[in-house]
Amino acid sequence: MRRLSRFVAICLLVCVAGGLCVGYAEADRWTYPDTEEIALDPATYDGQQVLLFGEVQSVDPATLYGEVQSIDPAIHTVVITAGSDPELEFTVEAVPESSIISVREGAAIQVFGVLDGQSTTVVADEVVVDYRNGADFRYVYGSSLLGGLLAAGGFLWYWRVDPRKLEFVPRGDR
Amino acid sequence: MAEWVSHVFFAYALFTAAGWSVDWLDAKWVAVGIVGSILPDFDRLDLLISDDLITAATGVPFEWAGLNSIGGAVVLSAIGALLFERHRHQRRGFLLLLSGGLSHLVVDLPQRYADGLMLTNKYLFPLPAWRPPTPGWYVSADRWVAVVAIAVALVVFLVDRYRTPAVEGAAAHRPSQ
Repeated sequence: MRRLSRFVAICLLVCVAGGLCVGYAEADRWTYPDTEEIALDPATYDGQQVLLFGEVQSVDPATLYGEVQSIDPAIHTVVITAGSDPELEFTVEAVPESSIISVREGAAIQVFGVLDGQSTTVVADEVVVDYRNGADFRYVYGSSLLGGLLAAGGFLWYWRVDPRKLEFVPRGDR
Repeated sequence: MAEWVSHVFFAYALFTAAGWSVDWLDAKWVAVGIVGSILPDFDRLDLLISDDLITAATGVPFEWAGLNSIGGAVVLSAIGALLFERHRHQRRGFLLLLSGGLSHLVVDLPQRYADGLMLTNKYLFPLPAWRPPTPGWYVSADRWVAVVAIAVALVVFLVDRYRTPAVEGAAAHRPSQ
């Protein structure tokens, strides 16, 4: 009986967790327009401030491999895709030199800037590089895997999982 | 998100140090708090089953990001707590998992965002989406964050070992929890 009521409680809480994910998706927690809104009427968003979390598709070739040749910073551009449902492509202008040198195709960057050209272009006020390249992604996923194994290992060192009752039981001798 | 090595070592340090003043918070409960410290990143389930796939299959808007929040920490901690066997363990389990989850959100707070504000619009859900300025100390891939976390954990580990012999005798005579 206790097992049944606990099972029901867990099922209810899993539903609540699902409800949180639905509630979060329905709530608009950003003051900036998202790609879903922009895609509906791109022209009306010109001049508006956006914060985009994008994946770098290409970097202005003139500035690749640290050989920054252009003098006008407005020419420092990268092309990113951002958002989902739909994913949109933007040309990011005025990317700071320090960012343009470090990013490669596939990098993950944040762009805070103003939309232009019927929402095909963003003139960047600020760019933050989250993941410069494949090595950054491998580091974060690799160290997260390690951290997860440490957490699981530590837990199982002190607790036993009773598979029949689906319960955590302390190992008495530790 | 900071990577999990940082979250795990910061949580180890936090709960081990907390155990110095909380009688029952021993190593087995520290281990529970550490598990709590990665709960908010359950939103990474997105990498296995994407938001869009769920939305397409069910017709309902869905974002795993809802779990990477105060609300998510409470619900996931409650689920975890119900898996402990006794009521007292359930209460302690909930407290440790939730504290671990909140420690995760706090560690993630000072990250750098291009608009200069914290990502608290996510983390505070379902509370109002308030966004104060972020100090912008780090991004996920900054290696030094894990170095600091491990260094802090090491200091706490050494202090903990140094103080343990004095209280071990008392702990051994205490009735088992």
